Amino acid sequence: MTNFTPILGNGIDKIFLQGALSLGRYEAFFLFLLLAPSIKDLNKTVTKSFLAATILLLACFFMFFGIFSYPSITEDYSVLYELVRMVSYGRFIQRIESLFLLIWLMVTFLYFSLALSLSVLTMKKLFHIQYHKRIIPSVAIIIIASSLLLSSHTDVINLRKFLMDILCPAIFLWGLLMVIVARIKLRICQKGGDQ
Amino acid sequence: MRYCKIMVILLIPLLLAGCYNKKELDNLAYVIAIGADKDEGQNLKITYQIAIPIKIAGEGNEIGTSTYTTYTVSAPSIYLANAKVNALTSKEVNLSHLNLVLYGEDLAKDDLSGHINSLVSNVAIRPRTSVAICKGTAENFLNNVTPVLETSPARYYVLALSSFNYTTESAGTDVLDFYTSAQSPYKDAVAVIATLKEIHETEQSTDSSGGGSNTTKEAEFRGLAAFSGSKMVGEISPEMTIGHLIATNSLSNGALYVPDVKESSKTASIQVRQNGGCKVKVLIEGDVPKVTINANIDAHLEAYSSNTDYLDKENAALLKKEVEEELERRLKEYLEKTVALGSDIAGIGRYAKVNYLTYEEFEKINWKEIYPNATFDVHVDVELSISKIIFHKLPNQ
Repeated sequence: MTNFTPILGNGIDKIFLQGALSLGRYEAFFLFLLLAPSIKDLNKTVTKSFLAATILLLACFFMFFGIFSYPSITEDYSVLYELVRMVSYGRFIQRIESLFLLIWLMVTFLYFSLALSLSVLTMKKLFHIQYHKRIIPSVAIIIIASSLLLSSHTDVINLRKFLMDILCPAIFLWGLLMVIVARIKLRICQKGGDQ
Repeated sequence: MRYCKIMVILLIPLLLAGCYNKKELDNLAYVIAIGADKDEGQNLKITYQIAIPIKIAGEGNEIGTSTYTTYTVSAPSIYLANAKVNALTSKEVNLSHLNLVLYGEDLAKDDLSGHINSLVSNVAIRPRTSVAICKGTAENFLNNVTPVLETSPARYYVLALSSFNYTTESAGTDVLDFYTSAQSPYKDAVAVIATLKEIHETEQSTDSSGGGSNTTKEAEFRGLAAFSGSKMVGEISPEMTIGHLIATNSLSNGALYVPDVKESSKTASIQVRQNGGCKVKVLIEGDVPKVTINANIDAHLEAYSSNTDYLDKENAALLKKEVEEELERRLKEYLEKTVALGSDIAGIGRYAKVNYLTYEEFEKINWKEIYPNATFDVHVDVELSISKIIFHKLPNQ
């Protein structure tokens, strides 16, 4: 338990202010905005998903901080992978990260499928495409070909940094701005209607 | 039907792996131990101990030095040494079965930073691979070590290095713990000491040749090497290691002896085991940390050579007090040794940082600078059980 102390870590400003800059790492929640028309009870679904994700993330990071001490924890670890590598019980229960990699591979393809379907639905709305299922292979090829444009792992890391640290917070703020502008516009319209 | 389709789609990625980059098990040379010693200039002398599977398993399996082979190369790091050894061996070296990383004493006293990092970042090396510091050179150790009770040298290291689970003269140390402790501002790294012990075995012969003697060299993992940062600063003797195990809440099973309560020339043997973690409080007054440690130990009277009746409550209470005093003495001796070396291998700093809200405040006290001023107040509470012991003495004949 001493690994969790000092309780405020590097300070409140670094936790909240610098942490806010890492908001882009939770970009998956933005997908709910795109999925909203397809979900029956949006509030309930979002609440349940948020709670499930929070509990899982908290559990993973609780275990991670408990095992890896500061300052080595500040290094660029893949949290779950390093945790799974630690598992070694007896003679046979060792090196089980290879089993987990299969599960993570399936999760990656699920995420890819979701991203692909949302891209196709967005194109359907934008370009008023009637038979949107026919463009699925084309969009898939475009996405995979785009990913092959990056020639090295360093390029992937740099692009990911740009997307996570700059673009995603910008999208969050843009969405918030759009909602605020829409509310203001609605009130102006309502006031105009009353008059 | 829908779920079946989803499951089939999810299982398709598993077939994408293929066998393009396959590696046959027979084409790999499994390294079971790596040793590093100082060499000229920036280079290290790195010794690879590689298992010979054909000598370990199957008919006519052998033991001793014939179950492995060694290669020694000079290189600035393990990655470059791998490349050199691959040129020497007929098979590609594989570090996934590495069980021991051994550093020579000279190299440990010089500096290990930069070398241990490469072990942690290597995907093939398990984070729980043991680290040891060798008396003499690691090359000599790995060339001459003779596993006797085990045919597999890999299993020999695994079992020998996990002996801290049933002895008090060794402690568990691995690559990840070593690395994180060496980096830590509130704890120092520790590694077990490996020594090569010569054992002469005389064979008796029925013919006139008179027999011969065999010399085997067995590894001994006893005592600890204390580090300050990445440099070895001293040793903790095997007798003091019990203090380290208590302070780090690792005492699973150990033995100690105390003088008999009535006949001081006789001894009583006690089995000890830790009961829960130590309660440690650190109060910092100026530059002096005042440390209070309360430990709980379960003890069991195993044997004694006197005529004292330990079923008597008074004698049992006296014996309990003897055991408490002995454990307090050993723990205090160990802590004072760490203070003298300036190496907080017990990790007392972890308990000091509990008193602060942020790392910035904790780092201002500069724990590693003030640790040599520390004073200790040690209390050990022993629960002594006297049962399952035969009290009837054998008559002298």
